[in-house]
Amino acid sequence: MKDQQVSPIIRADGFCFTYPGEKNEALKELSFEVPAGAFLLVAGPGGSGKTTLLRALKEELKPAGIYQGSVEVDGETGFVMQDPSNQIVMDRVWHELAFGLENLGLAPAAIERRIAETAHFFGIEHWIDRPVNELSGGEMQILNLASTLIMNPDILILDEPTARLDPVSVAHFLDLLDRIHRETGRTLVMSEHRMTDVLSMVDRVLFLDGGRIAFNGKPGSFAGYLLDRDLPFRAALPAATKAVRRLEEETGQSAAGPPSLDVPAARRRLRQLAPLTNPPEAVPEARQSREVILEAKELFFRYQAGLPEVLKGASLVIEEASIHAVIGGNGSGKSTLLHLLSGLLDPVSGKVKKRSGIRTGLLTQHTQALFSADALFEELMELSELGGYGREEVLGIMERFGLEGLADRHPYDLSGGEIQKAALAKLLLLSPDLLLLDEPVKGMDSASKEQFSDCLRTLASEGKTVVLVTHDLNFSAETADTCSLLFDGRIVATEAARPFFRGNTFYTTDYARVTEGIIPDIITAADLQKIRKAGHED
Amino acid sequence: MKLKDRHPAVILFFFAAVLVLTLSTHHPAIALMSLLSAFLLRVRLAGIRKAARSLPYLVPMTLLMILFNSLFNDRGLTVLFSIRRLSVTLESVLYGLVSGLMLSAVMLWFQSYNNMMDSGRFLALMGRRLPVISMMISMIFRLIPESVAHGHEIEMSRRALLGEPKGRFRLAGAIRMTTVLMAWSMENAIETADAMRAKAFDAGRRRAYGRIRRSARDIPPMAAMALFLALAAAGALAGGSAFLYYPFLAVPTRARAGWAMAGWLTGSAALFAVPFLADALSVLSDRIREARRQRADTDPFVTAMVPRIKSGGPQ
Repeated sequence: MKDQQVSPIIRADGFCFTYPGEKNEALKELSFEVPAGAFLLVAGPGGSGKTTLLRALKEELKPAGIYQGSVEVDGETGFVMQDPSNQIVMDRVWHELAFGLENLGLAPAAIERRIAETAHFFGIEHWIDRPVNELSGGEMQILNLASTLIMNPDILILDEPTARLDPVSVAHFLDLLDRIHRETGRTLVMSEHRMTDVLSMVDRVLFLDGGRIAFNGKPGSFAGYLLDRDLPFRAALPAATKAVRRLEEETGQSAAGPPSLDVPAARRRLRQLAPLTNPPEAVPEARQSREVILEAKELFFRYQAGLPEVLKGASLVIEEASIHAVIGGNGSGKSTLLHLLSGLLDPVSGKVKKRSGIRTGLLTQHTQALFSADALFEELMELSELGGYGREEVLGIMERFGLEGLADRHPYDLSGGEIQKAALAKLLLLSPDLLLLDEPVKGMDSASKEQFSDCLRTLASEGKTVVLVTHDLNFSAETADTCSLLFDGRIVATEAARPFFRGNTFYTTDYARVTEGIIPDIITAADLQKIRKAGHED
Repeated sequence: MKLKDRHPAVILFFFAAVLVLTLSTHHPAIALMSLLSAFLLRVRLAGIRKAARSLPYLVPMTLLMILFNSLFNDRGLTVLFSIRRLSVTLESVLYGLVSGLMLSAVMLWFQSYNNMMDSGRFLALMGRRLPVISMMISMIFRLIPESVAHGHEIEMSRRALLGEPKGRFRLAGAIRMTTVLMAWSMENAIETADAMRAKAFDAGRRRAYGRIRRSARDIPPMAAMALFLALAAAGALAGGSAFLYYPFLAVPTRARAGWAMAGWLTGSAALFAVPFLADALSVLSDRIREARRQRADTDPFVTAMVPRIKSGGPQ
């Protein structure tokens, strides 16, 4: 058993760190303690020093640079990084699990026993023989967690481990972390940019802003701290927390206890507050239908003869100058559908009818595959000859997307949000009429998502048509005009975004789930803003 | 128990012995036996359709061997026909045929070897002795499919942006693809190196772990194969494998004398048949177990508590 007394397992005292050649410190005067057995969330916007701090805690990964003050870690550490695939070294699951233990020089019998134990704990016995390349991103990340935990570290450090996963895998991964914490009492230190589900799980939060500790305390008080301040990071709070606060503000009822962090608590509070408000006015549904720019009829597709069909009669109508979101789970055929719409793949049967003369542009999921130059500006200039554009256009689009400060940056050094915007900029320079985007907001933090959503809305208002496939329901609700649900190779529902999400119970936005049955017609954060105190007239 | 499920050393031993037997003599009987069993094993492992797919290149190859040997070798007394000064003899045709059969057999054996020994099994055999190489091979097997997938992705995103490449852009596209792939792989490799360090790779205590264990049940087949090989080798050394092509086809009297030829042929045939013997034995032992189980007097207290089981055991 682990030592149960609350002695700090990590202790930082006036800890500063500066990267070589940089004038400003990446971490400034950090002083904090982490008690053994705690689950600490390191929160903060991109570039706030989360990764630097986490790496400084792991001896083997300490970044090179100038250290001041002290940080003491009392125990063995294990480290899980963001990218599921890059962390895997060996070719089979069992061998990946054995890798760390082999490095420690353990006897084969001991390794065998640990593999058995760990595989059992994680419930992965049935894929122990599989080649790692056949695993999905979510499965890979579970393997990374398992192959780190198998080395029996006292402290498990996780650097945005769910950023590249789809929502279902995120939930599964977080459940596993929760189990590890509850059942083994290990100390967990995790950085994350999404707070939903996480905040109610952890027992401490360290909030970094610009390399400084801006907050250190309990998750409940952290939510309160964010709600009271107008920081961009506020957007990361769970919808449940934000919805309750919005109603409290509007009705003038101040909260008795700490803010609600999960859906049940939020719904209890909303039931008290809702009678004090007027339900929001109904949003006019009527949107004139526009001209059809692309129509897919009864698409059937399989990758090879003998393989199962991925699409089984998917039909879709895309209207001009609108944003159309196709949502669906893993393996529902979303990417395949997009490839068929673009003409990259041909359907086995069925037809894609495009209005003649329109130019189509597609962004695939790995935008990294698009970049080859050493600097962003050169990258965007790459296709100037082919696309018939010049320096002016590139500078213009960089300014428009807020990328002007990054002209000399290597594309790989951009943040998730910046990479997507850069890729979109590169696509737009070729002036397509129809943009097809595959999971454009995967791995983005909330603030970047909002910006990206605004970008797309502007494009649509300028007459571009956007089709995006995504897992992200909240993003779809805030961005799209029309939503389609792809399930089992077919489009099973297509509706305007609002009625679409109102019509679903489980497959809907966070706001809709929190307010369902209490306040009608709340789909997005913007809807909440329309709620007025009872008796108050606009 | 099937040969495929045995320890990789057993499999390796079998294929090594079979190759040695096939190639150490140039005897028509061995060539035929080897080819027949190699083909049957291929059918057993890959199915008749896949096995038949090797015929379109094995048959021409054999014909080519016959052609070459009969054209460039005019030894032998039985002249079949003559073209100008070139006489084609029965002996040289037969010699070419046997060479072709041997070569075909070897190729079929190798196909089955690949089927039975995937990279994991081979590594299990090498792992202890060559830890660095076995680890490198494992990492390579991880990277190859990933790089192929990345290359595909790059190509797709490129075509998505620009359509089908044309003219001089095609070459430019290929060069660019290589550049992107290199940059991408290198970027990923940095993270992989970090992950390796995070898992104590630098500790310098590495000790390879293989998942395949030696087990006592591998001894009988190993012993049987050694026995068959010894019998064949003794017979061959006693002169049982002698066969003359020139000046005319003949089995020398010393070969026929005594046990030499019989021992050599029996040993070889038995060895070639090992995979099928293993199959047959496994079926047989299942039958015996089944029969025994039905006859066995199970403790009435056990049977009383067990729901009635149909044949095929619990579950």
